[in-house]
Amino acid sequence: MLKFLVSIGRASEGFVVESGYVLALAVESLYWLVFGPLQGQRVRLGVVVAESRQVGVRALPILFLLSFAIGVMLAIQGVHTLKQFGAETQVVLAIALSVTREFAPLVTAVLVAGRTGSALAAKIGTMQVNQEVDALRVMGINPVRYLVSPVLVAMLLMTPCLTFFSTISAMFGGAVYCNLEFGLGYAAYLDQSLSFIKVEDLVQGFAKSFVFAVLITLIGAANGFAVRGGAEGVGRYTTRSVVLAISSIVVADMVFTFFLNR
Amino acid sequence: MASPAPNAANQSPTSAPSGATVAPRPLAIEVRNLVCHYDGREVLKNVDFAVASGEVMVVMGGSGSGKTTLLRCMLGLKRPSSGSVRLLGEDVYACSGATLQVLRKKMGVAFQGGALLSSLTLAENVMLPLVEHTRLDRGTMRIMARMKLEAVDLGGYEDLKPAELSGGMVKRAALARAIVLDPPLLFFDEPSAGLDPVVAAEIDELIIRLRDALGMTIVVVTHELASAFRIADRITVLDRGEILQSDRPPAIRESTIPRVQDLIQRRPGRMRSDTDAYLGRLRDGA
Repeated sequence: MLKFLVSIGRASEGFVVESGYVLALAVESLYWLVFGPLQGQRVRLGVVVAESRQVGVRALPILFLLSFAIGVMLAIQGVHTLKQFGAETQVVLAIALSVTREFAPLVTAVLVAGRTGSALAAKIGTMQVNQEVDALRVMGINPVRYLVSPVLVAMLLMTPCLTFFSTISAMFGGAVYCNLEFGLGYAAYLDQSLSFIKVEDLVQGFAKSFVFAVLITLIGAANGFAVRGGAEGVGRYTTRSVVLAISSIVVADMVFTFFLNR
Repeated sequence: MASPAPNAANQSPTSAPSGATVAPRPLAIEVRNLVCHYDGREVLKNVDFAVASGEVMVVMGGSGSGKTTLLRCMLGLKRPSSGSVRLLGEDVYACSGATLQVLRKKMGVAFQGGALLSSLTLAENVMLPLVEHTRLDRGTMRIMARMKLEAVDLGGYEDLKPAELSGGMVKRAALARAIVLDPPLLFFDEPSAGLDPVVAAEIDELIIRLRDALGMTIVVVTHELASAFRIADRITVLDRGEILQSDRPPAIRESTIPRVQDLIQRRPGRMRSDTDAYLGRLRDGA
């Protein structure tokens, strides 16, 4: 029993310490973004552009595929359920709202966590193992400014864009299915969708994507800096960063949904 | 522990090989009563030494003697449990962030594995301190990077990534990066380990040239004996976190301390456990 309590205590302590570290990382990243230029240590625009290309543009094909498939699945489930009430045409409303508010931000965030969050953790972790982070420090280059701040900016710029792209792709998937299933024209589908979606719905999706972007970046970076023990450590912490990022995304989404829909 | 205690006036009285007294030089590096722990284990025990400006100090010792930890403490990468490290008069662990930042621009470090950023080309790696700390135009920075790369015999390799180079080339590129700002302080971790003898000799020559031409203060951590005796003005021998001796190379060569002689003569360390007794205990199931 005592052992169990000790392990709970240790886990809680670890959680508090790690949360504090992530928070400190967030503050430091923002500090360099705001005050870096005043100290002659600005975050370089070229790096932000390169990271944005990596985070955003290169994720488009796989994001389209996933979002399209989710749109089709939602349409299939929606038509199947609503058919029982003779209201299958209402599936457009269901798809429009669920995609805009929930699925697009969530799918985008999960994909970005898998691609960018893991890549960030692996990159920083490998640099840590190869003493590259130490080399940056002794050269007077703050590793957070050099490695984390540009990614944070790129993520804040690109995750909402990807979320918007995911919304369009999922709705296109739903439109294709509805067109094949009961001959609903694409123009009519778009017209109906736009009449249902309010600005608040889009804002809700974008607000979530901003929070998810911050969570993915900080969790990836924190795990990268925590790497110890060579290649094995890099693998362990990369996996950990993905699991933690996806878990925190889902929990944050639940909290968001709870407060924004009451 | 036989380390020369520097005088209180922050000066290092040095004597020429002939025995004639020369003007005292200011101390560039002062390590005072340094104690450092890793996971509760004492890795450095009251380490105390100083390096005069323009001197090449070689830190020697076997594996696990605390050489790398000492270097990390000196670089401000590992906070010691107690004691102090002063570089160019500034206490590394007590000065402000801004002062430390200024200090960092005055030191170059070549890590054992090179520690080049794998996402950048050689030229970009060497240019990095220039990009971050100067306002030179890109063309000038590129010329400077090329000059430094040529100094370490890597001219023509500017556009290659570290992964495309051999270990020795990476090490030399790291050296080029360390000297690109012509810093007054240079730190090398095993600069010639793993290099072929010709390149190792070239690196040694370069270190001596940097001291003579630019008056750099250089700390080299190594266990390459030939290299150490070729480049050192003074050698500090570490063993199990303690300084065994810190003196000029001839004095180290003629040292009467058995562990120092073990290291110099490459003699296997004296057995510290009684093997027969150990096997006996195993046999008895104790």
